[in-house]
Amino acid sequence: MYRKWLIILASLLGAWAIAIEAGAAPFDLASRRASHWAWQPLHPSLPPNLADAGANPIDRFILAKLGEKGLSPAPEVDRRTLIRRASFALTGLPPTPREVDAFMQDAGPDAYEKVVDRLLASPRFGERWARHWMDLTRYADTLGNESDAPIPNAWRYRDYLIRAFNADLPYDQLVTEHIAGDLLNSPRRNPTDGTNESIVATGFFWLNEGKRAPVDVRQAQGDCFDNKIDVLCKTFLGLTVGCARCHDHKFDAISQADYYALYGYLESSRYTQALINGREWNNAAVALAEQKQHLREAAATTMLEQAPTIARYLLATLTPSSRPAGSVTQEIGLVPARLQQWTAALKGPLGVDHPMFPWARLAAAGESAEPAKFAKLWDGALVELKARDAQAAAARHRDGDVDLCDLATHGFSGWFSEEQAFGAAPSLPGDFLPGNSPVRPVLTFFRSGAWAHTGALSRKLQGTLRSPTFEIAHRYLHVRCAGRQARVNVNIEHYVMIQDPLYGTLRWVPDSDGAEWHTFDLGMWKGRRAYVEFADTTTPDLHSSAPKGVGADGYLALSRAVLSDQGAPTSIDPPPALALFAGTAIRSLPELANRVQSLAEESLTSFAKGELPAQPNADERAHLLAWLLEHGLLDGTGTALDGDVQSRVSEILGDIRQIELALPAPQRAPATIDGTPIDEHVFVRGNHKSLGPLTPRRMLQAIGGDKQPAPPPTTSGRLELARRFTDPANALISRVIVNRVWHHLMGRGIVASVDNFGVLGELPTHPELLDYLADGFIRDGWSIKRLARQIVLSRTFRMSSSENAEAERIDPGNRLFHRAMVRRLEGEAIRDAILQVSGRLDTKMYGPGVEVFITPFLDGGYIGAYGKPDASGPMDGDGRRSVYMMVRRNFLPPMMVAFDAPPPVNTAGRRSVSNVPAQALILMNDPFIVQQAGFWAKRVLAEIPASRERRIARMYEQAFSRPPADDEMETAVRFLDEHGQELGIAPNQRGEHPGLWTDLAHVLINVKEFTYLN
Amino acid sequence: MHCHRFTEAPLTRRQMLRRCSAGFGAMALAALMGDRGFAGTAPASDSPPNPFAPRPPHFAPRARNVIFLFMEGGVSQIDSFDPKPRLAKENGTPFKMKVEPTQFNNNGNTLASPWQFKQHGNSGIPVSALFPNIARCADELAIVRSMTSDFSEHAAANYFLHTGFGQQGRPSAGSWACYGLGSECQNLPGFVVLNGGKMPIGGPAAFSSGFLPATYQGSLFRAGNDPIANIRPLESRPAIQASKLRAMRQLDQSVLRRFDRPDALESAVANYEMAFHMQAAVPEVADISNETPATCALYGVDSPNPSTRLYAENCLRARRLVERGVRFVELTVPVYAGDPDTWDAHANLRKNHEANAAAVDQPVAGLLMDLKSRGLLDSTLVLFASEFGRTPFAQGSDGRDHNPFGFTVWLAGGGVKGGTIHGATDEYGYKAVENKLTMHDLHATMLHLLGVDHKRLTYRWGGRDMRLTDVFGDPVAALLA
Repeated sequence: MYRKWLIILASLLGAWAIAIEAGAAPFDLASRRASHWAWQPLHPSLPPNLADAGANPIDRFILAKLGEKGLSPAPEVDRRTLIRRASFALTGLPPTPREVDAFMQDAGPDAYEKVVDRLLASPRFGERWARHWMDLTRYADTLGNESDAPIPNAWRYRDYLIRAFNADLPYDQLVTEHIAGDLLNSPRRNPTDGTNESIVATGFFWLNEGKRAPVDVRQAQGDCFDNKIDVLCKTFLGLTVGCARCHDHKFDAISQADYYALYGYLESSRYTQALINGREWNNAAVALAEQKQHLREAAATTMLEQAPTIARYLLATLTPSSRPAGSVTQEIGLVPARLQQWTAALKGPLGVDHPMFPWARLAAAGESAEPAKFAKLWDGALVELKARDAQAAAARHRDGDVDLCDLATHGFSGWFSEEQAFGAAPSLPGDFLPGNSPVRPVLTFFRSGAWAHTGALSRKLQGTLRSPTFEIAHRYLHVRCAGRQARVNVNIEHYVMIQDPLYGTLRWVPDSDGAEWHTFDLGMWKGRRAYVEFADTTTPDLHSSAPKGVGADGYLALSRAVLSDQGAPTSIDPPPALALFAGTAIRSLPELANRVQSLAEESLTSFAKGELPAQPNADERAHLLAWLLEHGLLDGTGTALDGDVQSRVSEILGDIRQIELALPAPQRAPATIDGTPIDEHVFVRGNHKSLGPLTPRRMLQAIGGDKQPAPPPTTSGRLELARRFTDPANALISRVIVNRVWHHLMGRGIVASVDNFGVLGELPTHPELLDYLADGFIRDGWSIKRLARQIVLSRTFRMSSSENAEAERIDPGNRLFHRAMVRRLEGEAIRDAILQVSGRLDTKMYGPGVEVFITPFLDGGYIGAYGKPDASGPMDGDGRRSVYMMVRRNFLPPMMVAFDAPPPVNTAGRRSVSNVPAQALILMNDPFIVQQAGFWAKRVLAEIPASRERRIARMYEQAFSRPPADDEMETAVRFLDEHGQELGIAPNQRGEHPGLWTDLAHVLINVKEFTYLN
Repeated sequence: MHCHRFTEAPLTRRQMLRRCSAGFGAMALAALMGDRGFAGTAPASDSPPNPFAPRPPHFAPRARNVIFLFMEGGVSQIDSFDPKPRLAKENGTPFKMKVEPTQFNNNGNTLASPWQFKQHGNSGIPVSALFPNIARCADELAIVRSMTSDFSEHAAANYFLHTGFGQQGRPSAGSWACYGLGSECQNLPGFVVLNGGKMPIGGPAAFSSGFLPATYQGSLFRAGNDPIANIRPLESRPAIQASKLRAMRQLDQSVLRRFDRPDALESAVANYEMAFHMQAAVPEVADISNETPATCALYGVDSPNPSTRLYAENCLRARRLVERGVRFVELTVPVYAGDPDTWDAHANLRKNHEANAAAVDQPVAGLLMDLKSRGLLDSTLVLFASEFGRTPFAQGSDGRDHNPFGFTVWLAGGGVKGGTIHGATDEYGYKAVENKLTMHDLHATMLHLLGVDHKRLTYRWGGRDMRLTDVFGDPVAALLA
């Protein structure tokens, strides 16, 4: 079958090559798809039936091919080499002498199987394979570019990978979580702490280089998304979709429309620092909401108790001040102190916007005003109120202004409330803000419209509210907020590094308990897309430095967000008194006082039942209640009932405090969440200023087909995309991962170009084997561990690397796997092995990365390197495995760079293997290496009794998993003598001299067997 | 071309040893042989895959080496090599052209150059008073007044100038040159960056070999005689290290036998020879104490200005590196603590540019003259370039913002037509309007002078045959002698 494709392919390529030369390269997706092997469905065949091939199907496929060429496989390698090879392949560490001994002494038929199972079960397995995976997703802890700003909590993604590989997370699940882990109905939980595991995977989208202060932010988005698309498709599909940014792919069945169909998924998604222990926070929010109802009921009891005296107090304030207050109040049963509060509350100009405006107007005329005069004053007050109301209406509907939110009528519809603080809906007029004192359990009532308030349940909750994405058509955005220690960001074209130059004005840190307007000037970005982010969280945004004044205990309250071409907002609220009093015939002050009282009583009765927001004129009622409340006029006055109620309130407040105190520290991880769904146009020649046809979001056509359903209307559609990726019918998903596992274990993939299965990639050397493994992989539950086990147990894996001249001639380059390959270890494995032999390896897992060791050479002694950490990390990285070292893009560790760790820029499934003097210079002269040699020497001197030979043998076992050969022993012993002499160490001291043994240890680290595997 | 996959050289180690001239480099190939990208993409020749050995160019080169004087931060074209009298006439008035978005968006009025221009040499090339010494070499210079870049931000523009791409991850021009041509020096790196005191904005990614093997990585040399990490043996005497290396070699022989002498291992063994020799060669080349007082004075090594001194020393080291066959030498600008702004004159243009010019003017002129008197200028391309230029209107009142739309770079030396001016900006010096050059054109020209066809210098990566010039660029004939 493959052969047939090959023939088709060859002929097509021939024709195509001619076409190219003739200057025409027609793009025909269907024929390209039909003509290239990688697009074809899996075609698993039975393993060839060969005598002597053993039970492992891998060997049958390999042997069959070798047999065709008259080749025999290389003989099985010796046991010491085998356990060394398997240990490095599976865990990235050499076996310890004890492990080697155990294997050597185990004569059982399953001795090797036991070794393999032990290695697969080792936590070191996950560390090794996570690092492989991090090469694919260009893992880094910083953004590189100009400022090398941190990507906060990127390490959680690394830990996710380690756990995933150790737990043998089914691969289809791993893929799904990378693409849409935030959208799963029941996300996977971290087994140890219950945090949301699935969402952490989506952080990989945000590990790209981040440009600082782009002048063309749309272009910067294009570059950034290009990287995301490229990494996504290379990693999971082995396809170079990035090549279709400017035009249809030159070689593969990938159209430019495919590229922009994927682009839309990114446009429809957003960056966040997800709260991964949100479940505890959710539970707390539910409990707090319950307590808030208790608080309301208890508080209403007290307030209702005060309400029946309102009219009497109001009228009492009219009493001429010359009369002693006490005598009057006693007469009518009022409390003198309370009357003083009333008098104070009514003092001062109560303007047209005050709920007691009519009272203030009419009280001035006196208790005994003539009805006619009263009526005139009353009408006058109404005229003023109506005028004010008209002003408010005009301000509200200023020509050209557009409300970004309408919290009162539409709530958060189209908006995105993340975490708990903003809740599911805004607080409506008549809702209340809880207080924390038993005297005032209701801090105030929401009024003047609906509010998105992060303290509606508790200031301890955190959260972010994001607007829909909108195209900037107005120069200004006016937002009206109150808040402390919170922030408002405008993110344009997904650009979230809000800082100077250019972007500093896109953040506002409100610092007032009274609502204030703030104006963002968006003139520079007209035509760009944006969303506004209102946040009250501990993690501010994509770069580390929290804007001044932003912290954990703040709150943010949003009332309005208005897009406008006018430089100043209009902000007149309708006068509450109009609705409260206009419809009633009032002929005297006592009538007015009674009206006030009945309004308060009605409103409080509704409030007690939680129905105030549903009352007509709830906003105006809330104004009245808030005025009463804020002047202490509804507080208890010390009756027996008060005492009971207050102790009940204290109890509830205590419960609330308990819930707040039990809140865990927030744990966050960079993640992807949904935003407003957006389909993108084709950018003609990759240029965003030249838009082609709209491309609805969908999977690559060559995989997903011609007719794909549109994503559900309110989501990005990433979950459906993930299902397309992991559909077993998509042969690439399984072939690519199976090939990656094979590549890492065998030294070269069945498809050598592991990240490119396209036409410019390489053909599989063993297509039948590839499909057999891919098919089995799916059937076996997408288990990477069991696949690795099958490969490592094969005779193919266990062959010697010895070369045979005839075989080399027939199979140059070992394409048919007639022997094992000699391989240089990766920089990480070299460093980790050094730490293991020196005894300094700390196997502690997880957590923030160990800071980079900054030498004067790392930045060339240069000053002013932006993003340079304040303090250097330890030279030995605290002995932690290399996977736990921080990856700062602009300060990559020199040893890893020299040993070909790929720069974290793009998917790098196959590392280059170079041979440069810097490698030798590091192993010869780097202080870290010499330091570790010293530790190793001391360890051997301490652990092994005073025999030079036994110590040397031990060092060989530690470093090379074998005893030294006679000539090696002889060389080492002679070295101790001759070198001891060179160092001027007396012969009788050479046996224990740490410096001398350090030099021997250093020599052994430089022996090539330390860095090469056979 | 599409059949790269079939072209992997079917060489055994022994065949290879026969085919390639001896030397460790022949074996260093082995490790690379497995890497598909390398095979079949070596330029112009089916042979020598030794990553360090010199490789034949595509055609007769005009220059063997490059010295790239990277004027980080952005030299102002209208204050250096592109005089615009109109700026003086309209000084302080609103700028008359449409202003493109700038990095700081704090755009002021038209700003005249504070410096006078005079014509110099037989060619009569105008140079401002900022560069009195470089002006004396005017007849050597090919001045490009119509250079452009795609980026207004330092990091992206630095990557673009160095790698032809505005993000991290692509190989630097020096890496490409070494990949294409190898090195003519077996004990020094082929691509050396001489430190001027500050990491360029965007970090070492500008000197990275990107997807090319680490072999072609730029080596950053610090000032002084101890220029790179791990070059100094930690042993107190050479004999001690020698004794250890002797033991290592013997033990390596045993390993070679055990492993059946695979190519990769032989290469690694040989690699130590190069490293060992580098230990002596690197400090030697960095040490300028044997240069004559006259030579030192020519460069300004005796200058009272510490920045001039530092840059003079590095220019002198650049000549020494080129003399020894190092393919590509880059110098970053001299900067001392407390003034890390390079040429990035967002405010106080006069003070900034005077300080920077004072640091580089004499050393650069000294380098050109010294190369010439030693007969090296003919084979050395000297490139003086910033990542972008500056705006003809003010930033604030007395600074200039970034301007990628039209700025000046110059070339001198091997194969370059001295005493020429190529291209032009508009009458304000804002945008290139005549013979506009892209960064890819500059790279193509540079490679052309080295004898390399920029379209044929490719490396298979990420599904494409990558080039320094992406899919763009043409050598500029008008600049060639």
